[in-house]
Amino acid sequence: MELRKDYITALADKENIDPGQLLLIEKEIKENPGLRQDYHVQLLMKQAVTGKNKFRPVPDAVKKKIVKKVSPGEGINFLPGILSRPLVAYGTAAIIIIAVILIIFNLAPQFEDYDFAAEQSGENNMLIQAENNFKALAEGREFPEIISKNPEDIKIFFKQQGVEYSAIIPIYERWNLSGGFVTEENNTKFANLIYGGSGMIIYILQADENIMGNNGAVNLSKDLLKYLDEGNCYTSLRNGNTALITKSSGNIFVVVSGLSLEEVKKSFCNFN
Amino acid sequence: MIFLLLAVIEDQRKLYSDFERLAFPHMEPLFNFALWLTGHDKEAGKLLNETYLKAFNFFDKFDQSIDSRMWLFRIMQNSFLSKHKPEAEINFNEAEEYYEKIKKSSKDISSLEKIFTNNFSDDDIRKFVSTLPVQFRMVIVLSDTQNFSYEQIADFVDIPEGTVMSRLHRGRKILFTKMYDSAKSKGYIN
Repeated sequence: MELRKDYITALADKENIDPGQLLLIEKEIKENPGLRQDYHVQLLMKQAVTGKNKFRPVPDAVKKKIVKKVSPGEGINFLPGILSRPLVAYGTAAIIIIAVILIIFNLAPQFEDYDFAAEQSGENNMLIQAENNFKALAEGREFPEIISKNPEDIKIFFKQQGVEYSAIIPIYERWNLSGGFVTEENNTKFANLIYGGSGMIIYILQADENIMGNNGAVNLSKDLLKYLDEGNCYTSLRNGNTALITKSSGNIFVVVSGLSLEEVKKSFCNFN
Repeated sequence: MIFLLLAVIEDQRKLYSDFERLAFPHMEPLFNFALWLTGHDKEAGKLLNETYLKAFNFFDKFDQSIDSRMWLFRIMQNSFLSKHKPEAEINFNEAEEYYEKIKKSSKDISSLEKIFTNNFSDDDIRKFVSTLPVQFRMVIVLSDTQNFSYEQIADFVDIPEGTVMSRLHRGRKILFTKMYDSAKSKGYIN
C-alpha cells in the first residue's frame, strides 16, 4: 500500500477514515523523524486553534439589531415578510389593481358640472365655429342664404348645396324658423339654421356625428362626445352668449343664442 | 382583507416565535464561526446579521424537522462565500517548499508550542486563520472551532472526505508558516 502523508492529519484528528492507511502512517511516524515532525506540526496547529477558541458572546448591539429586524411589527422585514405570504400577496395585488382602476376612473372627468367648453379649441372645433358664425350673424357679416319658414324647403336647399347628411329641421312654438345657410369646412358642407323670436336670434349648426373625430372636417373633444353619447345635453355660458350641444338621430347640434341657460335647456335639449 | 391581514399577522407572530426558539440559541456559535472566518468583530457582526435576516426570510419554507444549527451554518457559509470566492489556483508547491525550509530549522516543536501559546492571543490566532485561502480556512474553522467531523465537513462543504483531510493538512502547514514568520519577526524565535 502506498503511503499517503496527509493521513497524519486524520491521525491527529482521530478520524478513522482508512484504518489501513492509519496503521501504516502510525508505523511510519515512529520510524521517520521528518514525518513525525509533520505530525507534531498538525497537532500543534490544531491545538493552537482549539486552545484559543474561547467563545465570545454576541455583542448586544448586534443581537438587538437582529431581534429588532425580525420581530413582528417592529422589524423592517415584517412587512416584506407579510407580503411574501401568497394570501396577502394576492390580496394586496387585488387591492392595488382595484386602486389603479379607481384612479383611472377618477382621472376621467366628472361629467357633472364639467366645463367641456374649456376643452374645445382649434379652427375645426364645432363649438368655436358655431360661436363665430353666431357672432358673424349678429354683426351682419353673415346672412341667411335661404329665407323660409318651411322646413322642407330648407332641407331641399341644404341638399342642393351639397350637405350630404340628412339635416333635421325642428319646429318650435316659441321660436320661428327664419332660414338657413351652408358653410364649408375641409370640403364638407354643413347645415346652419336660424330661428327668431322676441327680438332674439337663435343659431344652430348641425353635423353628422360620423364626420366627427381627429381627422374629421369638424370635431369636438372626446370627453364631450362621450358625454353626448350618454344622452346628455351640455350647456355653457361664454362671452355673454349661451351655447348648447346635444345629439339626436345621429346628428350633433350646437345652439348659440342670447337666451338664458334655462331657456336654452328647456327648448333645445331634445331635438326629437 | 382586514381579517386576512390579521390572520397573517398572527401567523407571522407564530413564525417569529418558532424562529426565536429554533434559531436564536445558535447565535453565539454562529457569531464565533463568523469571527473565525472574517477575523474581525465588525465583519462577523455583519455576517451574523445577514445570516439571520436571510434565515428569517426563508423560515416559512424551512422544514423544522431538519437540524436548524446546520441550516444556519450553511446559510452563513453561503453568505460568506458569496463575498469571498475561493482562490481558483493556489501555488501550494511554493508554500510546501517554504514549510520544509522552516521545518528543518525548527527541530524542537515543543518549544514552538510554548512560544505560540505564550505570545499569541486568541485574536492573533483568528487573524492568522482569516488570512488563509478560503477553502483551507473553511475546513480548519469547521474542524477546530466547531468540532465538525470529516464526514460533517464533507457534507457541509460538498467535497469528498479525502479532500477535507487534504485541505486540513495543507491549511495547517500554511498556518504554521504564518505563525512562525510572525513569531520570528517579533523576536520570539531567534
